[in-house]
Parts: sequence; C-alpha cells; structure tokens
Amino acid sequence: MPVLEIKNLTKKFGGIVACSDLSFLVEKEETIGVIGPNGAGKTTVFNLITGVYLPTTGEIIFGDKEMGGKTPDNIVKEGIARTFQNIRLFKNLTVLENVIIALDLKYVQYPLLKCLFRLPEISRAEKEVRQKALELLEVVGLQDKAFHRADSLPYGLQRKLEISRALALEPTLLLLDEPAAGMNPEESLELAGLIRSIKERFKLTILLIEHHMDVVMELCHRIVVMNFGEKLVEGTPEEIQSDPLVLKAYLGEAYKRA
Amino acid sequence: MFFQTLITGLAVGGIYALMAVGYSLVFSILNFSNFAYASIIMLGSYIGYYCLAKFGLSFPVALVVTMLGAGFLCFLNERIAYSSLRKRKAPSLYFMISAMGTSIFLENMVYATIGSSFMAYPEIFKQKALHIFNSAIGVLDLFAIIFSFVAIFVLHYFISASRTGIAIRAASYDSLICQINGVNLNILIGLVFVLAGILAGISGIFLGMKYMAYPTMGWITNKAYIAAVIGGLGSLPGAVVGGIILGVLESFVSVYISSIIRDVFSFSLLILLLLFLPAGLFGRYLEEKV
Amino acid sequence: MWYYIQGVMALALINVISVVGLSIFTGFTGLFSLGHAAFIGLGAYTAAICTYFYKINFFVAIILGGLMSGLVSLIIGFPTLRAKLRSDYFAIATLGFGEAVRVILENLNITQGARGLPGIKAYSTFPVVLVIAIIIIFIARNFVFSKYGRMAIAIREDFTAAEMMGINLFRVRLRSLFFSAVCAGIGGGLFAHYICFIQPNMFTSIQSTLLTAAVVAGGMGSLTGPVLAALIFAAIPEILRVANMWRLVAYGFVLVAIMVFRPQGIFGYKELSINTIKGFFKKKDPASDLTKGGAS
Repeated sequence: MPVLEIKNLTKKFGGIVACSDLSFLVEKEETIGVIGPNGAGKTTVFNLITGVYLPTTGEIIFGDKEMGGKTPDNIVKEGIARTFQNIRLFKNLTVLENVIIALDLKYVQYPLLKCLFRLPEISRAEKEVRQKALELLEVVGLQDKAFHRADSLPYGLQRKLEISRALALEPTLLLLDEPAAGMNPEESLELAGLIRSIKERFKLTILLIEHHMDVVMELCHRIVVMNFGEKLVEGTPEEIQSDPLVLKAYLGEAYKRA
Repeated sequence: MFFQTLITGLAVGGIYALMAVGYSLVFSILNFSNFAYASIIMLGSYIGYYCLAKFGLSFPVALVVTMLGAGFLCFLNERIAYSSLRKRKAPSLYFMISAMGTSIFLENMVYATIGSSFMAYPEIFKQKALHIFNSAIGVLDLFAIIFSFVAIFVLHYFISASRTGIAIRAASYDSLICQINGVNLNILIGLVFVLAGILAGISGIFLGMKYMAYPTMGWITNKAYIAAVIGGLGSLPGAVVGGIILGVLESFVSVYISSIIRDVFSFSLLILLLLFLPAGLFGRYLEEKV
Repeated sequence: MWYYIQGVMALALINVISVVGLSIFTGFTGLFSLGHAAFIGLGAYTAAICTYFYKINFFVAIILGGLMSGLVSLIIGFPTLRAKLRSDYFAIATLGFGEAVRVILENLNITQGARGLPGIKAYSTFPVVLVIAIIIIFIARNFVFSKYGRMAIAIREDFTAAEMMGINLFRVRLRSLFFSAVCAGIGGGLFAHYICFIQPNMFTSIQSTLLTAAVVAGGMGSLTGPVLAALIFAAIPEILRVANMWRLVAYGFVLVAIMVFRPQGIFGYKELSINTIKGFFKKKDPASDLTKGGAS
C-alpha cells in the first residue's frame, strides 16, 4: 500500500485553479521531488496535504485514511510533518524550546491534573523531553545553539532547526518545502546529505519541493513536474532531464546534467 | 405607532451610520479595529459644546471647528499610538492594547480635568417637531439624518472619484503595491484618520445636541461597532446600511418589547453575527495578518 | 496600622488572583478578553448568594463561585473560540459578553439588581487570601512550565505554526479561558467577602481593561510580571491617595507607552529565578529554561 495517494486533487480559489486534477503515488521510503516554475501550485499541494486548505475535489489518502477535510493538527497527529518555505519558527523562543514544543505532541504524555500539582513523574518527564530535544538537535548539528533565540540563528541553521522540529513530530511522511532556498551549492549538497541520512535513520518517506536541481536529482527516486497547477510529467530523474516538455517549461532547453 | 418607531429608529440609525463609517474606514485600510474611536467622538462632542456654549459661536462655525478639531485629534492618535507599531509590524494584539490605552487615557483625562457632569448643549434647533405620516420627528433628528447622509455621500464621492480617494481604496487592497506605485503610505494613513476624525466630530456634535456631552458617552459608540459589523467591517456602504438597520431594530425592540432588553439584544446580535456571519452583509472577512 | 496594611495587602492579593488567571489567557495564549470583569462578578455574586442566603460554608462558596464562572466561560467560549474569530472580533465579542452579564445581574431578582447585595460576611482575611493566592500561583506556574503551558505559548507566538505542531487551537484556548475564568471567579468570591457589599456596576469593562493592563504592563509570557503589576496597581491608590481618575489616566498612558517603547512589559517572557537575576548581571542572556527556570 502506498504511503500517500493523491487522486484527482483540485483546488479552486474562486476563479483561479491553483491545482488541477493532480494524481500521483508515493511509496514507502521513497523520496519524491515536486518541481516546477513558481506559481505552478507546488506549495498549494503541500497546503492541501497538511490541511491548511480544503480540497475542492479529489482525495488525499494517507495509508488507508482520507485526509481531505481533516484539521491541520489532526493530520500532524496521523504522521505528516512539514517545513515551510518561509520558515515559521517560534522566533522569540529558544532553539531548544522550539524542538520541545514539537516533541510535546507524541513524546510527552502526562495528564493535565497531575501536572498542575507537579508530581515527581512530571518533573521526570520534563527532564526526559529536554534530553530528547538535545538529541534531536545533535542530529542536525545544532546542539551548541540550544539556548539561543531561534531568530538569532543564521538562515541556514534556521532551516536545519525547522527540519529538527519536524522530526520531533515523529512523522512517517515528511514534506520539505524548498529546504535549500537561499543556500549556495556547497551548503545545498551538505543539506542533501543531511536529508539522506535522516531519511535512513528515521525510515522516512519524503516529499520534496525544490528549485536546486542538484539536490533534487541527488535525492529523488522519482520526480513530479508541475506547471499551471497540473501535473506535466512524472518519472525518474533521468527521464525528467531529457523530457522535452519539462525542458521547455522549466529546466530550459540548454539544461544538461554533467 | 409603527411609523413613529421607524422614524425614531432612522434618526438614531443615521448617527450610528456616521460612526460606523468612521470605524469601517480605518478598518478597511489598516485591518484593525480602532477601539479609541469612541473617545474621539466624545472629544468631538466636547469641542462642539465649548464652541456653542462657551464661545458662543454660530452653529455652522462650531460644526466646522469640531470637524477639524476631531480630525486633528484622530490624526494625533494615529501618530502617537499606532504609527510606530505599524512601522515595526507589531501583532494586532499590540494595536488593540494601544487603542485601549488611548481610550482610557482620553476618557479619564476629561473626567479629571473637566469633570464628570453632563454638559447640556444650548438649544440650536427649536423643539418643535415636524409631522410626517402621522408621526413626529424632531427638527434636530431630521437635520441629523440629512446631514449624516450628505456627509457620507460626500465621503463616498471623494473616495470613488478623487485621486486620493482611489489611492485609499488601492491601499485597502494591497498597501505594498500601493507604495511601489508611489503612494506615500504614511501620509495616506494620516489622511484616512483625519477623515475618520471629521466623521467623529460630526457624530459627536449631533450626539451632544441630541443627548448631552459626558466622558463615558463613548459607550454609545459600541453600538456603532455593532452597526459596522452588521454591514460588514471594511465596507463603507455596509456601515451605512448597518447603522440604519441597527437603529431601526433597536427602536422596535425598545418600543415593542422592552427598553431594558434593548442593549442585551444589541450585544447578543453582535455575538451571533460574529459567530455566523462575521463578514456582515457586505464586508470581506479578512484573515488576520500572522 | 498593621490592620490597615493587611487590608490593603488582602485586596492586592485578590487582584493578583484574577490577574494571574487572565495572564494565562492573554499573556500566554494571546487572546484579549475585554469582559473578564464579568467572571469576577459572577464569582462574587455566586459566592455571596451562597453564604448570604443559603448559609453555605465560605470555602465551598468560593469554589462554587469559581466553578460558576468556569461553566459560563465554557458556554460562551465554546461557540466563539470554535469559530476561530480573529483576535479583535473575539475581543469585541468578549466586550459584548461582559456588558450582557452586567445587564443580567442588574435585572435578576436573586441578585437584588442594581441596588446590590449588602451585608456579606467578611470572611476574606489576609491569611486566607494569602494562602489561596499562593496555591493559585503555584498551580499556574506548574501549568506554564509544562507541556500544556508550552502549547498555549506556541499559539500565542504563531498559531499557524502551532497547528503544524499538532496543537489543537480550540481545545487549548478553551482550556486557558476556563482556567482564567475560574481564577477570576475565585477572586470575585474573595472580593465579595472582603468589601462586604457588591453591585453590578463594580464589574464593568473598565475593570476588565485594568486587569488586561496589569497583564500587559507586567509582561505577557511571564507570571512574575503580572503578579507584581497587580500588586502595584492595587496598592497605588492606597499609597498615593490620589483621585481615582488620575490613576486611570496614568494607566492609559502607561499602556500606550509600553506598546510603543517596551511591548514586553516589565518582565516579558521571563520569570523571577536565579537565572534571570544572574541574567541582569551577565552580558549575554543565559539559559532560559522552559522545564526549570524561566519561560522565554
């Protein structure tokens, strides 16, 4: 059974069709790239999957459950996490606190009444979650910045924090929205390596929106190319690179991968 | 009976409409509810009182002075309490707190300096009433309705036809693009507040004439807020319609049910609207800027 | 003299209880309530009616007052919070609610209407109030430094991102509202048994805005700040003996000034702890620790 199935997904905003009859599958532990020119509808798809938008028609099936119509917090509980194109960290809180809040969802379970009286088990649970948060920060290499304010981090590290936070939600499906945005080629490749390692470590299935083609070609098993809200083509990186439609719409006819 | 209630409702509704337009004007540009507007109206009322009662100015002159005075105060309000928040893109909660602070400050300033007594306006319009459709309408009320509509009409013309007016409408849709096209947003917003202040001045002086001037009269303007919500916050024609509807509904509730229930009715209506029809009749329900 | 000071302190602590409650709602969850005085009034009347007419035990009456406010908060909160109104619409709805409650209080028989309820027994002595205040601050603090507190803070910081963290906005907000209403109700009950006479016009929107002022001035995202602010706000009129209206003029001015110059208030985001005190002396701000020392 595929992890995610998008079936004839359509989203209209009044007269504007942001997403039109989109269909594709994502199998377990695959990395699927979603590429296309700006305005193609890529982030709209992410917003539909995570419940920010309600589908106009069509289905979003995660595992065996229909996600269309669920609220964002319920969708996260089911096991889908995402990062944002324009970074949505809790700016005034510290790096550690950002991760702890994400961990609160699944890792921390104690009832409200007990916590109001600060029974010993609560204090213990709090210590544990703090420890776990530090571990997650180590995965992305941010443990030294644990007590810095989130907005004091340089841009690239903020992106890593976003990823760390998404991991804390213990997802099965991870949606990454332009994680390499604003990075130079060196940083992008480092990021690609990081994504590959967390995918293996946490057994994730990944959906990736990216404009950095080297990252996309490096990581993805298959690629979905969108344009004007529709799926243009779907295929392996090799197929996509030589597809004339894709070259015309997006990559540019002179694109050649060395 | 019916017509009398209707006429009374229209008279109050006209003033509600005026105040509601002022609220909606600011809301449509800045996407926030100016809780301090009530105190500007109250100050307008006091300015009118002093012009008429203490300085013995003629009514037209007093009206102009009040309009300009309230316009200026409203402008000051924006500059002092909101502009720095706007520039650093503070969350809307901060605007609300600043507005509340302004309103508390102004209301109690009047309380502390001038005193809490109710200031009765001198009689400008004769007490006699005109008779239409077997009902009586006071000259004052008639004048208030007519003047309110004239003022709103002038404002509407200004906003739809003049260059500045078009800029205001453009800014209400997308202030960033507006700036890129050469509009000085600062001046524009200042102007919007002056306009709202002028409306506040007119409302204030009419409220003062109809009732009296006192520090907590801002409370009446809560009704104007309800009117604006009925019509749809951000829609100027909606504010007018909302004001009239609210005035008439309140009048009927007051006469046919009970006058005590009137306020509970209005606030319950507000809550129901906010729950089920937040965009009102004509408004756009904009999501908050996050 | 000591008796007089005790009285002032008792009143100040009663104020603290309501402010702490509101702080959880406004300071930590980020929602503005302009009608909170209604909850204080409901608590006051419920408790007073219990002891005055039904001779119920004082402490039970206080709890009943708190629960009544809590119950009403759920009734009003359920539709308004579920509708996910933007914050200024919600604030207006709370204002409407506050006014509606006051009108209802003025017109019910059992509350004796606008005449008020005199002759309430003076059970709220300083030691009683002090103990209750300490308990409430203790509970509030435990709330803040826990998963539940963090969820509220996340919502205040960025509610869209909070939803993406799996946080259910409606439940957390309703929970905060309930807690703040219960605190206000308890404060109201204690208040009624302190001044021994209550009238509906004691619980107006002015009171509500003063509560919010204490939370904002003290610092949103902090408990210590609002506690201090509440103590100061309640003690000032006694210390300075200045006419009521100038005090309010000052509050209004302070609110605007804080928003313009120092929106985080006195303590914003920080709690009084070893860490924060050290922080005042160190150049760089050290660990702010949600699980131990401070909420940042």
